[in-house]
Amino acid sequence: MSTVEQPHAEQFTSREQQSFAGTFGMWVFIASELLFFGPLLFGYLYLRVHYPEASAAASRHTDYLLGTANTAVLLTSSFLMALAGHAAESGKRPRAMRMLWAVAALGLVFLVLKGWEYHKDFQEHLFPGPHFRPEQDGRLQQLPGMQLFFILYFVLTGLHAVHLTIGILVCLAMAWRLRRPPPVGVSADAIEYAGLYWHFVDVVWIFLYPLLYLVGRAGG
Amino acid sequence: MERHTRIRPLVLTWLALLALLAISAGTSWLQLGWINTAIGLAVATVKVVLVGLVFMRLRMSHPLLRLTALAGLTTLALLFILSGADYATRSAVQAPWQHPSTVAPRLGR
Repeated sequence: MSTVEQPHAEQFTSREQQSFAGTFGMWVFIASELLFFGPLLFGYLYLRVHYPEASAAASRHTDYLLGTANTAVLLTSSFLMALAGHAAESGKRPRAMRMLWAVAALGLVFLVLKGWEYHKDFQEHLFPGPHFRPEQDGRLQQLPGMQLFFILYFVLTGLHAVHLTIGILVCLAMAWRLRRPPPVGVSADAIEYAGLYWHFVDVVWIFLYPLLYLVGRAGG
Repeated sequence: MERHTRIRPLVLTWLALLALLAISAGTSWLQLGWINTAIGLAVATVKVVLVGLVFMRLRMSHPLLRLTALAGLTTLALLFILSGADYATRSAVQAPWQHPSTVAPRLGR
């Protein structure tokens, strides 16, 4: 391997051990993050079991094209993130840096599309509360459970957007700190930890996409 | 730790992910009832497995890391079962507060 040998912190016996401890810590964090999203997903299960028609009717109000486009954007960003990790590992730091800029840019594209979608949702009175007035063919469409769907929609996508924003900031910080070689600059390990977080955020969206955008699309 | 990643599997995974996205996006327009949801979730699971194995490198990582990922999923499943047992064994009592549109004062109208 062409990776530069780096000194390890004093609490570890080797660089490998330090690197593994970091990856392990990141996985524990990801497992706890999964449980952070868990209750919302359980709320969603409750909704689908108790109000199947309302969730299908509500889901048809979400923007299919924007949701699908955003999924493609995130999947591609994950791919570029994997390439960044690969480049950093083989010592190609400028290449890793370019990849991280691209990942951050795609993350930003996702947020812009999502923001536009939120804007449309507000205009269509889909935000839960006293002004919640979904319309179908010009007529008011009120089924019990539709508001619950949109509460979950906004909280789940909002929480995801917060995570993605953190991910973008991490990517930018990593790209910036890649300019200089370690130990002053960032190590390839750090790029891998950032990558694990980014992929987790992608994984959350992979599940949100069919749950929020594809229910009852074919009518029914 | 000897890590041997090549670019080719990453590219193939990316293409597979986009193909899977096309499958779930396309089949959602076929009227299949509950099978639509089943396809959506199955495709999402395959996608997540691909991301986990290739992009997150679980394929060639230490078993402890795979166990950690599995522990997260198992805990989530346990909590779903325990909470679900409660909701599955009670009948929903229709209380007036469940339908704000039928109760005065009518807000926002």
